[in-house]
Amino acid sequence: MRYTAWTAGVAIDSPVYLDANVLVGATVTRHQLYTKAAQLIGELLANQARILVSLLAVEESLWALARLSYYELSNQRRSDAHFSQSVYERWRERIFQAHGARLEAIGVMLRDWSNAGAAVEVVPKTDSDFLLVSDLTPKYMQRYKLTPADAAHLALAEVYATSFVTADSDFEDVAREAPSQTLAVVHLVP
Amino acid sequence: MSTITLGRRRIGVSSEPYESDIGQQGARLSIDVRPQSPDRFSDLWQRFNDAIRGSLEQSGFRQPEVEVIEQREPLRRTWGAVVVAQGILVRADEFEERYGGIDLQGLKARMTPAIFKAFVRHIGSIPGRPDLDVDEISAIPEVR
Repeated sequence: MRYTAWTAGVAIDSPVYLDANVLVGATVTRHQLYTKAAQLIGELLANQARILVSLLAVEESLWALARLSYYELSNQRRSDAHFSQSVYERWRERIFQAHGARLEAIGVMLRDWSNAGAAVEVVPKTDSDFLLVSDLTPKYMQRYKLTPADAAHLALAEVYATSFVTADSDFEDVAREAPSQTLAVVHLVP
Repeated sequence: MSTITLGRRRIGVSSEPYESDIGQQGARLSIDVRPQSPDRFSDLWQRFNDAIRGSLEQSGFRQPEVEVIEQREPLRRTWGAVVVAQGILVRADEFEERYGGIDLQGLKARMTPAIFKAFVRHIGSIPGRPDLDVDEISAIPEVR
């Protein structure tokens, strides 16, 4: 599998599957990947690339935004402070009271891109592809030592995309090991 | 939509049902100060508008972009704020935070106006923090 540490100006072959960390990375400011993530998204839109997203990526994005809201509301000083589903359940009402609109940000963004004419596609598209991704996911979990979510992202990218854009450094090792030459891992690095 | 006229500015306040797919209850409240013509109170009114809109944002009422009628050139600065695209006006400090370091003009030249607007509307729309690891926070959290 090809691997590219992305910098501005480097072409990204379409279709492009986006990991959740890229969607979040371009929507949330001030972190060290923000400028690159936003520029990358701009390049994809400017080049009229086919942008592939999954419900899994949206779900992970929602967790990220909920976590971010929790950190802000609870005045957490560390951005790696403990956050779990049970913490979320206890804070859910306050999160939505204070930052309900933020939780809609990723969905609204994808809808706006699509309404503006960008080629945003949701994957998997068919029952047979869903079954194929379901078959590949546990194989990739075992072969590349990935979490179920990361393995599912890789399987979706493998089935549909030419480029898999991610901020997850685990995929650098995967790219080195995987035999596929059709998919490129495009890594957002600081 | 209620309209209050103060001097040469028109302030619009609207309250409408909150449309949400996630079941949030309540109402959407928005406010917008629109210039009738330039005057010496521009900066004061802009700060007034920013303060109220900011307060509403913090209370969970997402504010629509301010509509700017005249739009002849991109990134036009007005009242210390920047017109990023048709209908999208941000404060100068927010502009630097969200769009600084991004080749906006280069991207704009290669996008349709609709896509450029959709792009700039959303990038960096949520404030984060420097120590944030976007990959770490995007993971599905543990149950406990």
